[in-house]
Amino acid sequence: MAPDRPLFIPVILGTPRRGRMSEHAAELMRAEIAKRPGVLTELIDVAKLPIPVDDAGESAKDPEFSETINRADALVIVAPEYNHGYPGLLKHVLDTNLKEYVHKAAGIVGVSAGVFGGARVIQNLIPVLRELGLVTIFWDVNFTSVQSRFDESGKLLDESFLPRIEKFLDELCWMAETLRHGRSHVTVGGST
Amino acid sequence: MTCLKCGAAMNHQADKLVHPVTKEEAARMTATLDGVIERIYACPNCGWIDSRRPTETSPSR
Repeated sequence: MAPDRPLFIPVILGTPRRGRMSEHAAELMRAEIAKRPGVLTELIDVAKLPIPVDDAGESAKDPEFSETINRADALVIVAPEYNHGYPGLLKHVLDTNLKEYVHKAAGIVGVSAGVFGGARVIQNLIPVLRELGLVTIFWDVNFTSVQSRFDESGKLLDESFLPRIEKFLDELCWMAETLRHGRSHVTVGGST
Repeated sequence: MTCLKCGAAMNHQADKLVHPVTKEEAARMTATLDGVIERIYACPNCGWIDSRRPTETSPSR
């Protein structure tokens, strides 16, 4: 049964670095989500968020970003792997919200120049997302050797990624719909 | 709690333990839980999320 409101699944581009190769991966994910009937999306670029880096929590919130996350049913986080970890700004941006994430679905797209495709950044990011109240799915997308996966315009050169993206989004949408029902109708510690 | 966006009754969907980031929050910590509880509500009509800390009388925004 389709939800009565469209699902809203924004894509977070998790690095501000110049020359970032994750940008093409994030735009591809946004475009693939946009093809799905009943699902709305938009790209959130952490480099463009006016969030101060010398404060935290409620006082560092960007109202527009917080409202976007509040409306979201799920998040796709595109995270490059930097020295086996996630970008510092991505963590700082995520930490500016909390209630907006609770019982919402999250899927991670790992990006790296090597053969692991961000597998280690995904493993490091999962406990952070869990603490924020997000529910991670069991599918990932791993952009291995990202420098050879897209041309300069951002066109995907290897279409073997598309079936995996489709399965990732199938699961993310299922989790998003299920958690929306739970948020709306299942009361914590009480009757439904 | 009533939804600030559409006026519908909201569902109490979670109690989240929050780890303090300010001195004021740290002063309100519950020792047995090692943090502060935030009650999270969702609007079944429009999907809006809001929250309240048990000691507060109005939504935290």
